Amino acid sequence: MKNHLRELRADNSWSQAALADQLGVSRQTVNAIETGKYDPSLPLAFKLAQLFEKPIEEIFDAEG
Amino acid sequence: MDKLNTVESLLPGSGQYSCKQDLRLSLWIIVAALSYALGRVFLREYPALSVSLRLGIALFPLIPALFYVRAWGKFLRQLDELQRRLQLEIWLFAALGTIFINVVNAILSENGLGWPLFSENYLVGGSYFVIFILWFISSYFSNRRYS
Repeated sequence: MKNHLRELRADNSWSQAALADQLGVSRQTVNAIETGKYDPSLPLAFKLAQLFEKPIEEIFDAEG
Repeated sequence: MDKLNTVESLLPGSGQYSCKQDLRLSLWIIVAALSYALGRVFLREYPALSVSLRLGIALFPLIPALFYVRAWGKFLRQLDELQRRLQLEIWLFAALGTIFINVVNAILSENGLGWPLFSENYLVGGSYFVIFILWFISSYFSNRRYS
């Protein structure tokens, strides 16, 4: 699944580690989501949506 | 929130390796292995002991082994969702690989070609050695895949 996590993170000038800290996951997980190697669970997707104040479908592209 | 664990903390050479974390996790299996080895020697030296005492000494290593499982459970609970999934895959690979190798060895042993590592003298230690090696190899490749 494609996502816009990298762009959103860059817009906020956060490092992967800083984002990982806020989400309560490892940097490896943030990197795996960004590179499309791992699709997050629903609770983690909601956390991301809450953090970036955007609906989930604006972060994740189901078509991708 | 509790501090997150990472699998890299158990992999020497990963840059995040933590000897303390590794030892915290491995301590009980070391105790189990030592008590198993000592128990074997003791039971061989004193074959006249009562059955209940022999049973107690023979099964004693299971107590630290259970603590080892408990320590792993605690470690897994403090991993994040990706790493927990990876660990389940890694342990499944290691367990199935060990079963496969044991079955191959059993077939070879029937024909007098078994490996010394799995002879009846080393069955427990040999299997643990194989599961550890498979866990290590699988962890290395899984971490490479997602990092």
